[in-house]
Amino acid sequence: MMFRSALFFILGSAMLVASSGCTDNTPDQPSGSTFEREDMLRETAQNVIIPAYSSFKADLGQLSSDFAQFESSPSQSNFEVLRNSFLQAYQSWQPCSPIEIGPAAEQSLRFSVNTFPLDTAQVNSNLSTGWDNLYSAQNNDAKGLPALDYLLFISDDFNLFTQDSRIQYFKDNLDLVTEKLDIVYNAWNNGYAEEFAVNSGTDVGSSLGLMVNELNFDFELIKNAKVAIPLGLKTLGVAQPETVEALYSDASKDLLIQNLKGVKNLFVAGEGTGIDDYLDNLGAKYGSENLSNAIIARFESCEAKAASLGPSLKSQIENKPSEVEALHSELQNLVVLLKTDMPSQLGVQITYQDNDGD
Amino acid sequence: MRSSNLILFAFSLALITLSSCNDEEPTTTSSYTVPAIYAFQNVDYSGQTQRLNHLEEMMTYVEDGIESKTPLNAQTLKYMFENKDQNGGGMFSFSSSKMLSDKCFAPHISKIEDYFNRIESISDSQTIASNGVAGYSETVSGSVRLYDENGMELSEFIEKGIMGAVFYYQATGVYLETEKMNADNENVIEGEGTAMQHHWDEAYGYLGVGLRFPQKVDDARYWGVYCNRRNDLLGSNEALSEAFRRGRAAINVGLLEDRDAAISDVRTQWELVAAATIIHYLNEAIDNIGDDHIRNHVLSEGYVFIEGLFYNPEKIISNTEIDEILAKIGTNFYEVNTQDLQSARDQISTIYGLDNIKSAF
Repeated sequence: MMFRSALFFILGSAMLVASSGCTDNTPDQPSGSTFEREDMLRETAQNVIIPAYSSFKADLGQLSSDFAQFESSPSQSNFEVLRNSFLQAYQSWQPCSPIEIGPAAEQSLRFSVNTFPLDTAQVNSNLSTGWDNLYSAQNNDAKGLPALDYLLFISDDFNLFTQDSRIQYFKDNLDLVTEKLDIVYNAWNNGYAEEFAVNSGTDVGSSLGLMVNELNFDFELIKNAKVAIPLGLKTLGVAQPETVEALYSDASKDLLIQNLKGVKNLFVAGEGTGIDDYLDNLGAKYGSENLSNAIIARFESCEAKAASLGPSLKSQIENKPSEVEALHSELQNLVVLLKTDMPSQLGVQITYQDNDGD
Repeated sequence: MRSSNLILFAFSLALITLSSCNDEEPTTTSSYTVPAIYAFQNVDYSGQTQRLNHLEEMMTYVEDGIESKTPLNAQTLKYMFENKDQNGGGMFSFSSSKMLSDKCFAPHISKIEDYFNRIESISDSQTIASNGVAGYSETVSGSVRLYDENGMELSEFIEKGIMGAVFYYQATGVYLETEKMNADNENVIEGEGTAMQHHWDEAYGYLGVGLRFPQKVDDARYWGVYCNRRNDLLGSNEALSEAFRRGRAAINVGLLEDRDAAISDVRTQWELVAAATIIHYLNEAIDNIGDDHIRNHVLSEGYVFIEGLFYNPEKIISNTEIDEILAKIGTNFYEVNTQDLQSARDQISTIYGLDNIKSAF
């Protein structure tokens, strides 16, 4: 343990020395003249960001209409339809997760939509005594998609879902997610996409700066919240499989994969000109290969490792954690490239810190 | 072997990078002096102090209840643990945004909450505590304690449990761990220092001593008290606080290897305080083997301190050894015997190299 931290520290400080020693020599826009960052941002918005929000919006719409259908005629088959469309929406949320930029940041979209693990005690207390405001601090981890996951999957029998105030709690949470998403979606379609594109510097607060930071932040959430914490890597090896995302539907593995794909897609801007192309333009290398290729290869290796897990991340952690540990190591390897190599090549600063308070 | 190659590689990488920036003066690392007390700039561990205060007021509620044999309420304790409404559900004498629960070793939160439930369930007992019967135990001198049917004193499980799962864990297992120690050490925030300095100070804050420790010891609390109690035999006040001061001084000049050595020393010295305290309690139990009131009390303290050894990520003892020692004591404190307690104590003293002074604690 200690040896590992010493190693990290040495590597870390080597990089620190390297970056601090050279900052003054680095031009603000290294060979950026032949590469239009503005085009990259515009394509990223058009090819990745807006489509991600659109498809989440469409799936929320489907969820809402399937919910209305269930409400008007509750049945086991309508319940299954509702469950499926929920899982579809949860999947299409995943590529939106890393885009906590501009309107999404203003709305704290990620926090509102997908804070987990769910505080089931709080949800149950809301169900039995009512709730005034889902935004109040006590409901911080009792809302959003994890709350829907709980309501729909705590029992396979549709009857429970119709009891107490579950229907209303579902509705209020679905409304909350939909309202938040609509605000963000509308902002991107009514001017923010252009604002995003023209904010084309590399300083703190530039679109590239924000994107690189949020891409990293979300990737670290994958590594930590979705993998390391359930594995027990933050708790001296004591596993906490009940902290996985989507505990009740057991969809954690698929969501994790979709999230990984989403982060990668933000990096490559789909088929368009993305950060990967910008890195190539800058001549960024990792060893002898292009840094962009090294990053993409590791994304693919993370996806492959995740895909090779059993269908349930929770049972995998309980029964065969070594494969999940291997996934964690691969995620860890990619963090180094994403958080250290990439920003230093791009001339972008990582400005977020873990701030879990003191 | 492979790892050391990696380190060499990292060093050479740093050298290469440094030499490529040859129009820059190389940064000269200054040496540093370790002050005799925690006299550094921008030290703030008020968050830790608030949590110590939370535990103190929780224990006042528990102890006052036991003293007067008034039933205790698990929900009240939970609200204090979670600092509900920033005032412990109205129980705290001060308002604070901090809470014990969110810094508790997560897999053990339910264990602590279970102590709250168990103490509530026995606190309305009308019977005198005895083997198999939960209840109050009172001496002629007026000492009142509350034991469960196995002689476990849940108030000690709560207090020492939180000292382990929050204070000791946060200090050794979180703030001195890689993630917190990889923090920024350049950007100074007024009153808090750099993020790295602040994390270090927060670890220090969980020790429960003031800035003038070890010169001033009378304001020590929780772990600070135990550190001070073991000081005669271990020299623990200087050993532990010096490691903290040395690490902070090293951070101040960016000598992170020295800091890492200090991290190991803090963890080791802190663990020694815990180990010696366990030996002390086991000795007390052996000396008072026939006195239920005393034996159950000291065994409760000792038992939870043994469990707490777990939280140190660089601990000397192994998890298996912890389990072995707990098994020697067993889970019914009325049915322990001298031989088993001696065996538990001897195993600990051997692990920590304290055999020659084990009887003196």
